[in-house]
Amino acid sequence: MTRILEVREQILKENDRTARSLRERFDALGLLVIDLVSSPGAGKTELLVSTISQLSARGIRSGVIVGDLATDNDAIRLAATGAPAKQIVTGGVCHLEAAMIEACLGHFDLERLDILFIENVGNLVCPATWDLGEDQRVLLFPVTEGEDKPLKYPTLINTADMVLITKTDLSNAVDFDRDAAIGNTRAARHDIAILEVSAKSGVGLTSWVDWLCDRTQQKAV
Amino acid sequence: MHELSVAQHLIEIVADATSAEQDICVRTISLRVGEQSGIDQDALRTAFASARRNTVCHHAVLCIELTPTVLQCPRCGPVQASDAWMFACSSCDALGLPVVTGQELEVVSIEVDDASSYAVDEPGATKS
Repeated sequence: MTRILEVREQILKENDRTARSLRERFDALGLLVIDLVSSPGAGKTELLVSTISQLSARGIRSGVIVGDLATDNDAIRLAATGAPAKQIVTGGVCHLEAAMIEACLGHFDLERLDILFIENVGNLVCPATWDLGEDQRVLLFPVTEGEDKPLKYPTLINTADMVLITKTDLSNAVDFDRDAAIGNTRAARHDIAILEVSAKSGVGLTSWVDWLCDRTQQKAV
Repeated sequence: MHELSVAQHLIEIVADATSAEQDICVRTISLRVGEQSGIDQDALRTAFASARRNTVCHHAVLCIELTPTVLQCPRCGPVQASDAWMFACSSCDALGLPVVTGQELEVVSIEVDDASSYAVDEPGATKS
């Protein structure tokens, strides 16, 4: 006999539940959690290396979780800053999930951190679906990827809290149209915060670090 | 290809929802998938066809209802998106509007049969 079972369950309820519990834990600690998302090669790791050094100079302690399909190259680069860094090797999975974050928190003394950065797997599609318990999701668009990236990946931009235009030192070399890029970002999300940075030249880094410091102070308990 | 992870979570939900049932076969899983959910339904069907093997969903197929994007326009109220990806109002062309519906990713219901009434066969790709 055929029967219909009513279910009405969110498919990602388990991930959402874990993310909620992580968020409560981070809130109780007063720990700011920033999820960095971009395509591969957008400069997430390089930006973090510069950012962590500047934060450290201001007395703000960072930790980093970094996800990649293979290798611990990024964790090694990040650990060179002196900040605790933990590599998640996803083994083929194209995004980080809340349970992966939860599983590696034992690596950190969270009480001694002010900011925990999560460097997501380089991918502009899949991370959009997975809540990690972060406070802010920051989306990186490097000037080398063209001005219409915000229009091509709208799902992700709709889940982001800030857009960072990166590698601005290369703007002239690639004829980057800044106004078009900002216009396209605003078309997808009219109220999203946008900052422009170059980890290489340092231009714009102060504004980005100021933004992080403000949020760290707001979050601290 | 995050659809494989989604398919695995989906199968866990079906296993939980049917755990109290005896000798049943899951035939159809009805889903609601929003246009903005970040899920490609063909990719989800392909991933599910692979993930369902030797699970409670071994013989199951997906029935997917794709829900359109509805936006909240400050001037016009809830409106269909003129361009789903630009978050633009179809009446006044306001841009960047918040999404009201279209982000769903949920199991609505599961159709089950008595195991004895269902011919046991090897599920093929044609059943998706």
